Amino acid sequence: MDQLPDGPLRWVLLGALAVLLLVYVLLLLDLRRAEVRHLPKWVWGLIIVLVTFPIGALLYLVLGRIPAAERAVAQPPPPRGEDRIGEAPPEVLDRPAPGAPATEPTWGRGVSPASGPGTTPSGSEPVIATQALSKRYGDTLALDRIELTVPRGATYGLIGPNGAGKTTMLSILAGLRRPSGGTLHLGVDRRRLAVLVDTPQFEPWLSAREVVDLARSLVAPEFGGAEVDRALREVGLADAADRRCGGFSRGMLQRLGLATCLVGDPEVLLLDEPSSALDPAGRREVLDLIGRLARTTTVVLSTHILADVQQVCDVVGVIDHGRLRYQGPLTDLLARTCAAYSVHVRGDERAFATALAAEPWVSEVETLAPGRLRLVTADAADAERRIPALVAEHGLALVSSVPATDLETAFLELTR
Amino acid sequence: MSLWRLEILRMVRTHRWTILAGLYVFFGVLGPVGARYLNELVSNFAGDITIIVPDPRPVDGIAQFLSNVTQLGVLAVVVVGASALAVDARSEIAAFLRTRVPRSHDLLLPRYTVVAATSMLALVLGTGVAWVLTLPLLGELAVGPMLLGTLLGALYLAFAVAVVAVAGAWLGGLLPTVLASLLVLLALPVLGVVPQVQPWLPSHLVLAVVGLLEGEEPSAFLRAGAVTLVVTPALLVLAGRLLGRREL
Repeated sequence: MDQLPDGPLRWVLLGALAVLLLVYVLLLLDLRRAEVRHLPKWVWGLIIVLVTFPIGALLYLVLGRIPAAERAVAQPPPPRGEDRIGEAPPEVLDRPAPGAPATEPTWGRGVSPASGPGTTPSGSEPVIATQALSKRYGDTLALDRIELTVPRGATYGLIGPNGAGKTTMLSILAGLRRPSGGTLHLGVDRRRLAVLVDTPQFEPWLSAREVVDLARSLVAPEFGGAEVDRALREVGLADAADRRCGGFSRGMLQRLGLATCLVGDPEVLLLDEPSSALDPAGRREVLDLIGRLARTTTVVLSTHILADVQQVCDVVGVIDHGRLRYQGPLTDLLARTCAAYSVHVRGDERAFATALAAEPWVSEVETLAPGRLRLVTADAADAERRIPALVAEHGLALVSSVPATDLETAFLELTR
Repeated sequence: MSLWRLEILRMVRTHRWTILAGLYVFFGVLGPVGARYLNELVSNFAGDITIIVPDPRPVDGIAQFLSNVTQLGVLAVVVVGASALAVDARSEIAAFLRTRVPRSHDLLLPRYTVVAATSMLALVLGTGVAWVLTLPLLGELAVGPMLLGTLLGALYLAFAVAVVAVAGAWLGGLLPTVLASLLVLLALPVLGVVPQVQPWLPSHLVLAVVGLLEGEEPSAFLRAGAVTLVVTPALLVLAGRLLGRREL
């Protein structure tokens, strides 16, 4: 203390020292509570204390500390088990399909990758078509001569296990990655093609309205602000329009992402695993929204959740180890494999079960509970036509008849 | 909401401008005060040893400010710049923008301009504070050299942000962008040990204001200024190309 200068300078120096110590203490207290990135907390602590002030403090604040607004975004996704719930409702298979109706497909049956679907069999030009599209990462062939054809107006489900090449495929379609070989034909202006990544994120300091308005100004500047409000209303975020999206849940971010896609009135929507990170309620909301969008827009969605595909898609492509194993209407895929149905009737089901077992299109019948049966059939179309008739013949009331493991079976047959 | 407004909001709402301005103003205060009281400080801490420090001149206020702020200021500019110019650091946000912005330069230009302008304004602000405090503490400074020197220092910051833009477009991540940029910006003055090279280096502009105040001719900084004026846009073009070629 004696070495400190006298007069006002002494107090200036002591004050500066006190402020410095206070800053260190506050930073370390903050470090204890905050979430950090890039390095473990203890390393950031060392950086704050040991690296010359204010370099260490700045490094921590700018590079290490995750701001509170971003923390909600950085939360881990819910366990996968939660995703795989719910069955496709019975109306799914009867849903009119824009590109390929379930009963009478307009562009034919499933095609093998080698058949080169440059146009749809109905003659209309596909909205997306690839020829021998390949992508190589070093020695790994992520995509192997893919011949993808997406009919205009279809809801195309690109399904496959994790690591099959779905995201790579969508990234190439979106223009975010370049193919190593082959060609890609887009039947629309790229600006009319909207992309939603699997876990959309936005600048956490922007409000939902600002995010959608940014998307509007980039893809459709001719549209007014009313379009932004319409998109937010469409996805159910009108009430949260002025909230900063840093505090949004994953479901809200997913809906916000969809709003950014909607605002430009796109012709094609590319959705990468749109429901994989959502809880059941969020997943339901997003699928309902996709179902509504599919009425007016060509949708390509990649997923490994087969129930989602069954719920919203009319055309599917099965991709595995970078190769397209199947492409065509969903109904064709289901029809060419064994399908299972869960039938719920009101009344004595025993005679009905015996009659079912005698039908040539039924390969297996199992009574799960009173009034509840599970049957396996080799012909889904026959099953859907005949089950209600058989129920009526036996004087029973049909509560429900829903597909059980159908697409999963088909998928496993194609990919094993 | 244009990309320009987005960048202004990034600077304002994340308080990055306060980091830059605060740092430069802090050293703007510290420089002249330190220069004025250096004699007293040294003699108090020296104990029995007698250290003779020459009486401070007005130029020492600015020189002290610049010697303090040069490295820390550039570090702050690099960190703030990288947080905006490492476009692909967060791939989800990058995908949102890159699928909607047709040309990479459209994405890069507002980011570069806003960061560079804020950095330059922070330097001007800090220099202004140092100048204002130097006046009563140490004496008057020549206006012409001050203005020209500050302009040249700001030009160097524009170059530094362009270096960050290239590193961000090339490397993508935030930390690699910061480290690569610092490596380049800190290595550049090392080349200055070669006397023939030094007048051509953009880093020669950092202390231009001191040189000009001490009587150097403006022409001494002409070559470095010209190189910086040519290299900075070239770096931006390169950054745009690298970003355009980069896969997400």
